[in-house]
Amino acid sequence: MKKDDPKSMETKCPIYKSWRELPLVPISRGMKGSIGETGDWRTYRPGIDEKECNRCGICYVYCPDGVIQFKEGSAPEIDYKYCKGCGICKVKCPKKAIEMIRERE
Amino acid sequence: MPGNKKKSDYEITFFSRGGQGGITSCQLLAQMAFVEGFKDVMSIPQIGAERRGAAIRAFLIISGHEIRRVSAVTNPDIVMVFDESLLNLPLIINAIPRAKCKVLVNAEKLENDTRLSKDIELYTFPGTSIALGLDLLLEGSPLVNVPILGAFSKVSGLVSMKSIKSVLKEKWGSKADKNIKAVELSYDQTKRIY
Amino acid sequence: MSKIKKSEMDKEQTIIMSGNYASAWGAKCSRVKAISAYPITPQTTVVEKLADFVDGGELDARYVKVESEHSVMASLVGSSMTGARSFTATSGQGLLYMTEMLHWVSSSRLPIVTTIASRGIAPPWNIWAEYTDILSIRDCGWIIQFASTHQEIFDSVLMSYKIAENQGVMLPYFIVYGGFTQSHTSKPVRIPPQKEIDAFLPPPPEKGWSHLNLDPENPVTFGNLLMPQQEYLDFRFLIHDSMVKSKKIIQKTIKEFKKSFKRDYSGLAENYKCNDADVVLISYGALAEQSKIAVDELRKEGKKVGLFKLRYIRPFPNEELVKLFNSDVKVIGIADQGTAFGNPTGGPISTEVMSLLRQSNRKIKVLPYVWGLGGRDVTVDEQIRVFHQLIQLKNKNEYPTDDTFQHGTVWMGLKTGA
Ligand code: SF4
Ligand code: SF4
Repeated sequence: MKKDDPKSMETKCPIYKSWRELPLVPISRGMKGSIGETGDWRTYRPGIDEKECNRCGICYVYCPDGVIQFKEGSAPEIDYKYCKGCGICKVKCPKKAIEMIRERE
Repeated sequence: MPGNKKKSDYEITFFSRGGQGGITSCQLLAQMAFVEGFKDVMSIPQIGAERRGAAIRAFLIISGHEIRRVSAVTNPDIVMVFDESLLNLPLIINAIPRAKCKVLVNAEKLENDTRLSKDIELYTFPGTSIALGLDLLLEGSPLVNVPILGAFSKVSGLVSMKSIKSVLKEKWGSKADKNIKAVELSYDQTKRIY
Repeated sequence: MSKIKKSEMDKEQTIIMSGNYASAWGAKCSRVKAISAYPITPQTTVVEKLADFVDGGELDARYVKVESEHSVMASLVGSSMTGARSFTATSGQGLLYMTEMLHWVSSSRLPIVTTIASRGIAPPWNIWAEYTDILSIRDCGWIIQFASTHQEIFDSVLMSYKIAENQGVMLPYFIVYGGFTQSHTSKPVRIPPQKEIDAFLPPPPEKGWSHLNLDPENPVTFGNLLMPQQEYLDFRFLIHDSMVKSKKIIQKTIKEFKKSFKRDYSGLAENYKCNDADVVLISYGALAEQSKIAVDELRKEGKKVGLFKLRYIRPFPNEELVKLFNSDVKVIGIADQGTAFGNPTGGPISTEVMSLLRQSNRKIKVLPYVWGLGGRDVTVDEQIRVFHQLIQLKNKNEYPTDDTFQHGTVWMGLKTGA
């Protein structure tokens, strides 16, 4: 599996029925949603004001779940399927360009 | 200690002071006895907190059998004393058997030593003057750890001069000459006192 | 000790060396690739010798100096995860300081080999032979083997990598011997030609271990949290399962070793004259080896005594012991050179041996011993007296009456004012 290959990131987490099927040790490979769709956890959703944003990438670095995609020069994009709404990106954004919006609002 | 020692085991105790090379000669003699053809040898340095000048013990077992024991040597056949001043220490005098033991002391002369039993065989060799004469020095002090090997050969009859020389040559190559001279001199100058 | 030139190693050499040097030579001849070390008496000369080997170009390995034993094992976790054959040595307090990482190694299933020059545990400080250091971490998931002769220390290192790196085992491995009585005494050790060693012990797979491999091109996370309902329990069982199953691999490796080098290490335990014995002493380490002399002496007098030497305690030689229990034996003495304060006997291994007794239907009397703590001398004569006590128990059903018999165990050499 190659690093940053989004296709391979879709691998499913294996389910073991018996100890006989286990590998010798548990390891985690880079994959999306190994503990489910954490987007369900959200009560507040981060929203980025693209005009305020200076493309520094700090939110991308700090997001604990790695759900912010960031390409230099363009505003970051959040994957809401997995963003759990923790708000760390909002706290860390130096431009105060991220606002936490109540879900359903 | 009949249960401790087999008939074909020989036990040797080395008494020296830290820095005199007692442990080195114990190690060398182990090699020499093995070259001589003994089936098994074991050199046992007594280790704790060693300091230069402090009395140090080392033991050697040479045997015609596989040596299986790890218990201490308490009943040596031969005792090697690196310097006569060590005989002033009660710890050492008390560790020398009162009978059936050969005691070899580095001393110029040692006629009437009342501290030792008369039922042992007492030998001396002038290791210090041999070392001084040949300039065998370590940081200014004469090294008797090589001369004592020649004296051991003469007293014990267990290790031949040939085996001693071959190990010295293997260890020091062409630089062994002085050491070989030292063992020859001490072999010749080792005397039985009683 | 004469330095062996590379060219000389294509024929067998017999070198008079200390137990510690035998360990270092074992690592060198196993062509270890990573060594991490922190010195501690009486292990120090193992890692000094290895530093010499690496420095002198006789061993192609990375030698990492760190600030503590905990870091020693942590750095070897890293090296072993890349598939490098990894080695260290320690002793006493150093081993205890390493404890957390020992679990990290076994649970990562890394075949690291570590030799232990066992010593007493402080306070009060004591640096002489006693096995409480290794015995107190016996349940860390490491294979634990005692080497009771200098030759066995060297030979065991070669065998240990072959066993530990076997796909069916993949567990770390301790080789244990006594501080000073073995680590610092010197005896002849036969070093086979390197070509023959290489044939016996090939290098590990070039691509690293198949279960876990640090590779920047192929990143994985290891050691993550597993929830109670996930497979934490199952992975624990897997370690125990491999440990038990390793017995077959151990036996197979000992046979292969015998074939290659003509030295026989019998198995997980050595049965010395036990087959027709009615009194048997069970022990481990160099004192067990020494008690063979006591057995021989008593056999000369017609006493049917034997020695059962445990070579491994992890995995535990259950089958071998149960077979012994089902022989003619009537009285068993079990001598521990280490303590387990407050356990049923005071000695860790006597308690474990006794736990297997119910697998036999025969009535066997048992007398546990603790001996040789902190390097206290145990002579052959004293070992003969142990057998006499056991014979007394068999003939007259009499347990020792002197003051050294305390809480059901003989504490040999206990000062009793007598
Ligand atoms: S709210 Fe939390 S999870 Fe969502 S993008 Fe921000 S930092 Fe990441
Ligand atoms: S931290 Fe704020 S300013 Fe920086 S990239 Fe993220 S949203 Fe934009």
